[in-house]
Amino acid sequence: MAGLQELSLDGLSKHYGTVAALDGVSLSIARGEFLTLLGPSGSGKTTMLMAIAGFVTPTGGRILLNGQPIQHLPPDKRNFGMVFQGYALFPHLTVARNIAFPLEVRGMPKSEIDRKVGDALGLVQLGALADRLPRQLSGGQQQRVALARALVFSPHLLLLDEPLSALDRKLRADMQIELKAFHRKVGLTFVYVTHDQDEALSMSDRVAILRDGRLLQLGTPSELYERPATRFVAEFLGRSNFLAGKVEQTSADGFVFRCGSELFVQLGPERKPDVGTAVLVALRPERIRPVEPGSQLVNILDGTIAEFSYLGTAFHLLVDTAVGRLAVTVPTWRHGAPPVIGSKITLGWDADASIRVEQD
Amino acid sequence: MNDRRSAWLLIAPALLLVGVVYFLPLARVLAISVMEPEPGLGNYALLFTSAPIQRVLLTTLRICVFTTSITLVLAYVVAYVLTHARPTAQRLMMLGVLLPLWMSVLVRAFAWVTLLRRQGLVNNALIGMGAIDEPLALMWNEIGVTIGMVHYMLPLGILPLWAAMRDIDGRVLAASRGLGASATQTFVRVFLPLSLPGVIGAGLLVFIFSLGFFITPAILGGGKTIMVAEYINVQIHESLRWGVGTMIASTLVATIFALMFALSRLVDLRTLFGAK
Repeated sequence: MAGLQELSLDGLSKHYGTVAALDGVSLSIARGEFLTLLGPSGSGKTTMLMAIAGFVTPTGGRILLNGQPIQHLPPDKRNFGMVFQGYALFPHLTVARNIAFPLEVRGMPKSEIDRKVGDALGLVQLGALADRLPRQLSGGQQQRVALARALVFSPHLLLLDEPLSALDRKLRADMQIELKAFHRKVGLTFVYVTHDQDEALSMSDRVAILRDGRLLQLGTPSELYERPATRFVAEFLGRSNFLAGKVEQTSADGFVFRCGSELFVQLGPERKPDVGTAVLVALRPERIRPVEPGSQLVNILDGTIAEFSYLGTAFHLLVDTAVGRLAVTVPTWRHGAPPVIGSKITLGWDADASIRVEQD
Repeated sequence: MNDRRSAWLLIAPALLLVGVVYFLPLARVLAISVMEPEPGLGNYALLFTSAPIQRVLLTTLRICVFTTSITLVLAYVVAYVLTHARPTAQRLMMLGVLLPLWMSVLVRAFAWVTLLRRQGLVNNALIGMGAIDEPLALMWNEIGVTIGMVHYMLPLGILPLWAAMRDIDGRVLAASRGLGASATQTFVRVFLPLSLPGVIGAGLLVFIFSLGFFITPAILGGGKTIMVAEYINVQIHESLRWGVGTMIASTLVATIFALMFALSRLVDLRTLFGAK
């Protein structure tokens, strides 16, 4: 593989008339990193990938490869590998010719092409299918051909546009593991676009969350999940309860806030609010647990079970409380007997189990 | 069962019409070609022995080949631009393509006469600009016939090509650029092969239509350049050699059926090439 390259975006924008598909996004992608651009449709993630690839001309900002601006280069001069949504294999060429394509257009000698195509076919374990046409392959096989084709010419980095969206659920899970292993094996920088939060969390080194063309938060999957900066991020990655309240008291490492008639304690490294300010606190369902009434836990709340569903590994409860309906996930092994709708339950959570987020 | 019967009932009028006004006369034509002036294949032997008939067939073939080639090149360019135009521009261009189809072929042939004759617009303009001294012979020859025919055939070439090009997945072209192919390489290695079934289909369609063309060659050929349809007309109406006329007509029909068969095979090619 070619020497690893460093890519950064500097205030990248794309306006269509007055609509901003991408609004001043800046970020750096480290060498060899698996970075995922995650967001709902219309968030600008695909526009961003297409701008990096060269199919979309930015209306502002720069794209830098090892410090050199490349935003004016056409796609064929960037030497980036790309796996398209739906793979975009050449329907009139065999698997081997598809993979040979980027080498042929570079004028590489035939013998070298044959050798590299053979290597690439081996890498994705498709040697036996070299002479098939794309339409004779399964989705997973097409996916691997697209990968081999995007990697065979030693690109600076690999761009992937929702490559798993066309596959069924089971295959998608297998391919996630395969892609991640593949990333480790080739050691190339991957920029991966998806709207699937599970994919983003399970595969990425870092995830960039986009919304309305803006970069909301960039971090490792656990940073984003454990410490979401905004309500949107907390909701987009997994499920979350939100407690809206007013700060009653602050201390060195946290604050006490009032939520209706209840008082809760919130500890954490985030910025301390002043007394009297409105705060929003995100609380993951799995961080809440049923406790004995009168427990010594710092945050306690009584409620009534309104709904529950059995998920195999866990029960998912909806509990009506004085601060509204809360979602609670309890591991099956800890719950014992199945919950009863309408029965009383006491919920508790540690002061550092929740996190203050920005309303957005 | 009832469904099937009503289906037959529904298509019966059409079947009857085609049978009575198309297949019956066609069978008559075939019959005459082997019965007149005497039973046997004598008329068909003329294909190999008669110099005038061979000359007409050769002229027809030559004009058809030229017409088809020129039409394909021009239609390809138009279809390409059409495919890549914005929706509004596309609608306007489509109107421009279809408008001539709604005009009488006779009107169009005479329009070309006023343009192409010795004192016509084209010659006068060229002489006025000093480009030429003597008017060019632009009609009453194969050039004139070919010009008129290309004009008529263009929509027939453009529409199938446009349909084929519209089916080409834009992502495949983007993939080609992303994999390092220049715009030219992308066209030659991806777009052109994927549009090839459309080229073959459009080519055969135009060629088949050209073979039987009558009015345009009759007017722009001026009796000097004679194509097969006009020759048949002369045999039936003037020389009254019905045997010869029907023989050539039958040969033409057989040729067209053979080409149609080839065309139907090429529709399969679309899937073979994966263009579908």
